[in-house]
Amino acid sequence: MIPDQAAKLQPRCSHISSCELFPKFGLRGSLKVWQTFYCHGNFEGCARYRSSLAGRPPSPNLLPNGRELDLKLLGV
Amino acid sequence: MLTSGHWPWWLGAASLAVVTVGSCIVARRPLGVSGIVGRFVDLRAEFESERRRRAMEENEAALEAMLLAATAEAFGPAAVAQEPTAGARALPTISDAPRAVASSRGCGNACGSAAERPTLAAHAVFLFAIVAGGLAVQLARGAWRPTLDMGPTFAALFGTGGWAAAVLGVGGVLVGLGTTLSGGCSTGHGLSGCSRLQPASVAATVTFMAAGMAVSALLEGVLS
Repeated sequence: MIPDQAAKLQPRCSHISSCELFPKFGLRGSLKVWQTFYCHGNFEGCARYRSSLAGRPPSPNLLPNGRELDLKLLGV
Repeated sequence: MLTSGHWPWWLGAASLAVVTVGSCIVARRPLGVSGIVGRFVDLRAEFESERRRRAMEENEAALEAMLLAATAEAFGPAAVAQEPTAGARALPTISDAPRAVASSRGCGNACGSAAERPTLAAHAVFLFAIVAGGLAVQLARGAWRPTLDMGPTFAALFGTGGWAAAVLGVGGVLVGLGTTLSGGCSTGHGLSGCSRLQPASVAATVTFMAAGMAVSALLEGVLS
């Protein structure tokens, strides 16, 4: 199976269109591993997805693995 | 025609299509009214999120570095081994992402999936416009009047006084509860979700439409 066909068969998170972090994972080659692993794969294990399902909008700095970016470094 | 009676079904359908697709094109995200209303329920959390969002947008270089560090932590150092060193600007920056990803995907694929989340103020204007639009049409018809009369069937069952107000209040709470449990309202599931063929939205829409028809039929049966 060629890669494009395989990609179309991958499960795809239905929250991609409203996820703030999805586009940020999309440009740097190294960051796309988040999209591959979560957005197009194990999206049910994504902390942002689970937070949304629970009725809590995910924090902007919440990563799919449940860790939060430490915004103290940005002065927050 | 627009200010008297109900619109013909085809005009209503076309208008809903314009609103749904137009929202997707302009806001780059599916339309969902209950989600917007929900933002105003916990304003303190919303303000905190806006503060974090602003800090992330204003410090894109630091954010990139933090994301790369988080990637290395989550997937191992090898995951970022090929990344150019800090300061190399040959690759697009985070701030370029929305435009770049939207242009490569198009709105039809993921509704311009890279759009920034609209601000609280923008959504406040949206909610105000919904109320103002409905009020404007009623005023243009000369038909605006505060009333608890939800139609002859409702009035026959509950009247138009305090009991009707209580029933409407309970109904409103149930709508809010159902919307929260199902993750969206008739707009989000019925218009945005079904148009994207989301299974959960199709299931939710079928359920609330069937329930609505069943209750209507039941009430009509009770009264006849």
